[in-house]
Amino acid sequence: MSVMIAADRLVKRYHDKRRGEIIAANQVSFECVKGEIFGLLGPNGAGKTTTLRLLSTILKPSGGTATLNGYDVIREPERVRASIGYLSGETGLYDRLTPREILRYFGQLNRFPDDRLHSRIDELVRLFDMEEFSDVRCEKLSTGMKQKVSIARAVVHDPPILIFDEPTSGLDIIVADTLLTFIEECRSAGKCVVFSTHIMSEAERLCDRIGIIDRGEILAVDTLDGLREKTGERFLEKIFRSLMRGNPA
Amino acid sequence: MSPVIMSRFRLTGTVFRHEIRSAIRDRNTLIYTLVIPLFLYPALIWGILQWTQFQSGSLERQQSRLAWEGDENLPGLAELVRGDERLLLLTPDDPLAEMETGKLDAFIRFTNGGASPPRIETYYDLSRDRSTTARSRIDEILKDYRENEISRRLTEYGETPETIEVVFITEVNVASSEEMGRFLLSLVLPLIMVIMLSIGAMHPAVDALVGEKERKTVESILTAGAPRQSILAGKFLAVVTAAMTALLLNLIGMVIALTHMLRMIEGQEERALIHVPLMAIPVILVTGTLLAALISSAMITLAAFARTFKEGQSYVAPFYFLSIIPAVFGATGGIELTNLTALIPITNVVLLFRQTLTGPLPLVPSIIVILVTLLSASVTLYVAQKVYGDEDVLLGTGGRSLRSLPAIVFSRGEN
Repeated sequence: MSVMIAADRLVKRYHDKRRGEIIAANQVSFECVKGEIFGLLGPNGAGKTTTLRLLSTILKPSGGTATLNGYDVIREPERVRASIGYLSGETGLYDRLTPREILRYFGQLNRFPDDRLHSRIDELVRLFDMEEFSDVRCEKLSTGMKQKVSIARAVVHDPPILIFDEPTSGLDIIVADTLLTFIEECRSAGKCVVFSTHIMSEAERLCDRIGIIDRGEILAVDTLDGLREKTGERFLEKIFRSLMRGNPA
Repeated sequence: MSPVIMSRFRLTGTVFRHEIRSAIRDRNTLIYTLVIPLFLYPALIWGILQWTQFQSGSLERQQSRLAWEGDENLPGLAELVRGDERLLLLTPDDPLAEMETGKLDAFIRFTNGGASPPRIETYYDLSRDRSTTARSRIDEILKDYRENEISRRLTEYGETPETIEVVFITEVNVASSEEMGRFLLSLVLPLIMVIMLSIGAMHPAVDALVGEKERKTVESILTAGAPRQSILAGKFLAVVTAAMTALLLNLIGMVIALTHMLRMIEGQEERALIHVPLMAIPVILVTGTLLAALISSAMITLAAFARTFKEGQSYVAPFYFLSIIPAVFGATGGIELTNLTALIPITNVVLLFRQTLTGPLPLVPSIIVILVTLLSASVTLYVAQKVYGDEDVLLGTGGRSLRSLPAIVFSRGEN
């Protein structure tokens, strides 16, 4: 299996005036292969977002490195960005543009070939059932419609790696299910997906392997069955608590 | 050109087109970039002139209420005053008190009884338009009376009025109508052009990054496969375009407004020769673009530290006012474009604009202006690029504030 993501002892330090030095990611290492959904599971403030931002080159590591699709996040950030689609639950849209205009913009920014861009946009409009509102300005769309546009925006350039940071946060059950189904389809299409969440049921449904993260450290990486065996617990919540107990503050 | 550079130019163009499209669809940007430059100042000038004309017409129609006191000993003067329909002669008990209450517009007092020649004091209230009008009417009558009386007395002695004149003075304005028009333009246009340039740049400059933060699209744009320099370059070019659009529209609007103003003042269409000399257009375009680059990159840099649009405006507004100070300095009469004044950013561009409207451009100072503005714009653009490389500024994290600017600028490599 070809390794698409290899995080190698990633570290991110911040300096806070009040709290001094904060280590948001501490020696984070894991690998993710083609056609796999890797779940990053942890409570709020555990370091999930920081880790995903490091992988997507939004943040520069204070230590360690990572390679995505064979490109180094420090030395080849542009190539890394061209290989990924990034979506977080808080991602917004350009209100004054239509979904088609947004898809065209990001397709061009990601250097998707011009001669194929139009048909790719049409394909995504059909895939996400956006025909009725694809030429309506985003300021007039509902939350669910906007989320569809956001997902399409993240995948318009057909990247081999997808990074989703709590993508279902704030969504209703129907829209969230659409998104989770899409993530499953991405796996079937051979994409490598990294997916962060604190919702255990989502992780159980989707993830081939799970990395448990707390206070910036990866506590365990394994399949759900592997984690069950390791902790002797059946449910992911219990597994999580068990691993947390083993990592006291 | 290498494919990599070509690709970067294309990406810059993509961001530029996106920003322009967004700006065109944004009502605030349209107001600041198109409506205000093209219509506000011309409308203001037109409105003020209309109001002034209305006011003066209304004053002309009103009678001036007048009183006098003392022994005039000037035959025929009282008849002249009474015969003037614009004047209304009243006989109040206390004329000065009546003037204070506004019931009387002017008061004439003969102060030395029967002495010859008699002394006349004219009382008026400079703070009231109606009183000022009354004074000018009285002056007119007294002047006519004086000239007629001198002429009559000289005739009695067998002389003509020319006998007592030492010299006849005729003033001739050698400036052509076109030169007068250019002078008028040079008084107001350069300063307003700089102000317009700043106003045009302000809204898109704030929107460049803060807009992304507020819309929560900053992560999307940062994870797109385009280099950050290309993204900044596209946004920067869009701000410069907005600023230059405001400047050029303002130029057109002001020329139309001033032409109209001259026609209204002079009442002679052939005298209203307000137009920008052809040679001035490339100078305005080149130096205007460089100044737009300087102001735009400075505004983009300052606004980048804000988390909200309002905060961004509050960061940029002081710079806007500060940039007007050197512009006002340059617009002050008496300061000319020299090798020394050409070294002062913003002031030098105003002086160059003035010079290009009124006369031939001095070569060396003009080159210095271009080089100084180019250098200043390059420095501010470099600072903007450093700021756009700082992840805490981009994401609004880490408590970055304007105080962090020196640390960011002098940090090594891309942040």
